[in-house]
Amino acid sequence: MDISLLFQIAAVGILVTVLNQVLKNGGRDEQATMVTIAGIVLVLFWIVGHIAELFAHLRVMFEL
Amino acid sequence: MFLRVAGTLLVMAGSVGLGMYYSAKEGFRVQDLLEFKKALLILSSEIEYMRSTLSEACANIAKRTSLGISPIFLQFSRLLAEGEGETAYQLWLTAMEPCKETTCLAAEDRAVLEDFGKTLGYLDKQMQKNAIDYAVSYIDEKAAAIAAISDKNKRMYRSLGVIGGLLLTVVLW
Repeated sequence: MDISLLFQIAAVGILVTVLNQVLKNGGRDEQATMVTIAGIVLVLFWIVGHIAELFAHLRVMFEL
Repeated sequence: MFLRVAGTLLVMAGSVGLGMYYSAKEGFRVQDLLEFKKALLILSSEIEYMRSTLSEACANIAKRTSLGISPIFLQFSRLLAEGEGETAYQLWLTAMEPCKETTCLAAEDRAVLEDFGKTLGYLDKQMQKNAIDYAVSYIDEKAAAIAAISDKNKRMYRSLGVIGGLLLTVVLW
């Protein structure tokens, strides 16, 4: 796994948190929630392949 | 690498520019509303003191208002002078049509100003003045409401532009 993916996820997390706060302070709670959900979905897209890989490794390791 | 950095700069410039545009847009809307108010006050005075026809009054207004609003009154004056047989309201709607592109007025503002056209040339002088007063009071209320939240929104749009640009850069990197 490329280590830069971790930094990207961290950066997205920080920026989504800041966006969330800015939108909430602007009285746009709905958009803030949408941005948070979009951030989660985006990161999930990035890591879903790696999670599948992890489970495959676990199955091999424990001979399941 | 050079292309990535160039792309990052372009994305950042674009999103910051977008944030700045949206933060300035409300200011432009207030400017257009106040310009329209000026036009309506001139119209009120023309009706009260000059007793000029609607076409002449609108031509005079077009000379005294700025770029965004002036063409509306100029076009309305022309349409009235040509007198194609439609109602003044229809002509007003035709004249107001381009203001979607040429002004920063919101849909609700346009709806009130288009509605104002229904009373143009209808009944007596007092009726016209009442309709103008109603439109002017709407503009005053709207301008005050926008001013109350304007600073907060301006800061928010600018922050959104910068942070949105950073987020897009991270996603595309």
